[in-house]
Amino acid sequence: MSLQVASIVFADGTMAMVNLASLELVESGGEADIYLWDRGGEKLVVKVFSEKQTSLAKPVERMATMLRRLLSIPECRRLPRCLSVRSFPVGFGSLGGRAVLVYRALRGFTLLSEVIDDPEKLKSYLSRSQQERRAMAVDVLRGLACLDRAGIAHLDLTTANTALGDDGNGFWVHLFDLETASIRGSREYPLVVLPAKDVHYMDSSELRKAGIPLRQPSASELPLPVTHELDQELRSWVEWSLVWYGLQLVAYVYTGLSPFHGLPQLSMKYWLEVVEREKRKRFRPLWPPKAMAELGFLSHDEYQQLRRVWDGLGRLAHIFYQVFVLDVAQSRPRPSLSLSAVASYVR
Amino acid sequence: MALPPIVRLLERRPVSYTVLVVFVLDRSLSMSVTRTYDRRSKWEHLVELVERILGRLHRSSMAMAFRVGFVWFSDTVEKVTSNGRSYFPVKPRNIALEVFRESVDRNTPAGMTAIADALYAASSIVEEYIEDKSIPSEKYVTVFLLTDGKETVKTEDDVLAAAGHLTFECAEKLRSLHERNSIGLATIALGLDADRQLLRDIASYLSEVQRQALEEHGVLSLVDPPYHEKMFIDAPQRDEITRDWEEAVRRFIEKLSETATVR
Repeated sequence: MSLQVASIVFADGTMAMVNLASLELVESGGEADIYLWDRGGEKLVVKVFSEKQTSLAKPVERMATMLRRLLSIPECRRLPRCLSVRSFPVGFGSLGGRAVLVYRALRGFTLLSEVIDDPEKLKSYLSRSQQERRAMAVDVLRGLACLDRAGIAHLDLTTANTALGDDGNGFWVHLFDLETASIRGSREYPLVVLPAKDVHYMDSSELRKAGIPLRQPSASELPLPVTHELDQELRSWVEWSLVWYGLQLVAYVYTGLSPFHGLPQLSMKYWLEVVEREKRKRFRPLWPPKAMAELGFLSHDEYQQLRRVWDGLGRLAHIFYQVFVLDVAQSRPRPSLSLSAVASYVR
Repeated sequence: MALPPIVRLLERRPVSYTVLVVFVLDRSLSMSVTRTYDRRSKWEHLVELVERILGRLHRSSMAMAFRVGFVWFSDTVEKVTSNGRSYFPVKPRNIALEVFRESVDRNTPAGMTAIADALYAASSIVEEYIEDKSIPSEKYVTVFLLTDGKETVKTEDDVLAAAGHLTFECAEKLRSLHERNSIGLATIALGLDADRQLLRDIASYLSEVQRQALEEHGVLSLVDPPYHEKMFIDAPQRDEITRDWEEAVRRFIEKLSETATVR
């Protein structure tokens, strides 16, 4: 029974003991168990890692290192709102050999993937103003840029690791599950899990079909430190994945749509047709690319509707064109812009 | 207000890959035996297990990727179809669950055990899936065979040939679409009378990621002991389905479905 009691130290210096048996277990996964804790009216999420994951990922030390790195960057000292509630813990602790992290909870916590998949939830999300959704999308971009500047390679940037909900100051988007993000240049905090395949994203490993020399590591290569010693193909995969997935996530937050919306499938086979035609016809950089309509993936009306939707993203739509069309057409070993460069361009 | 046109556009939502899960389910007479923790028949437990799994797949973050097909078998085989299709999505609407429930009443326990024919029926679902051009070419398959019996219609060699057709010939066709595509055959013995050695023989090997996932979810000890290398769960001890054993089978099926992409 004593092993069920976790000792927690909070960021404000207070300490607490909590009996997990008295908390609501919301999810029991392989890497960690998740509990909800009502601490005198304050709603908290308690994440108790398995012993194996604790020794493999060292989540407490890893998160502390990430925070230290983030806070050393002047423009990230005040964390973007999407990183301020569910990304970094307000308390650390242990339960025997298991690491415990405590986060503030979101009211009405809903995964972005659930919103995308459920027509009713999506309609409700899209009934929010375009300005509000754009602001959230830009905030996510700023959050990703901060992680990038801090040398945090958060590859598991999926729509299932992004949540919507009330953070106490209203409805907003929040990133979570950063505990396995790798830290660049560090052998101590390597890549320990492969990013989940998000059915809503075009997979970055598909870029190989565009002649980009990249390779996703296999599970047997883990743990894999993200250092300069990485071979060229793995390094390309890391650099491309961060930007490739980051921009797709931003698009989904903005409008619940893939930036490639209109393709019959999110596969490179179709996308390369678009890229080739754009290259050949030298169209103006628009989003969606004009070739989407010319190739019949979108009707004229749909193309116009999507133009209006994506135009709301302003300069970001040009970035989509740069990365998804031009960089792919040139088979660049890494995208021409990092996420931090994208964020400065948009600001 | 840009809302209405966007919502109309969202009716078409492309995905990047799909995972086909095929349940090959025994409805032979022996499935009416009540050697279970609550004295309901093994068949009733099987139906409930599949319904629970379909509910979980619907809630999974991979839900949009799943397609599910069903084969019932005794001495005859029913490949469950609806509107000309033999596999169904679980999201946004759980059509797979609806179709499965409709199939249950006409598949109550009776007759003998045609495992080879059932595996060929599963192969035909996989072949339809391979041919389907409306979904991305990145396709993963896991077939779950749940039986408490021995082949009684054909021979053991026919079962081996049917399994080989699925895991070699279909796998080859699948890989010709996309280099990452893969297929796995998982087998679960629902009783000690099952041909357990044969079920183990035809089961595919687990990938390292799948072994880890099963270990992390506390079910590896039940999977192909003592080697833990094949997608095989042996019959429950004392030939009675316990709550724990059933729960382990549920997790086994869910985890193998969710890790089909990382073989």
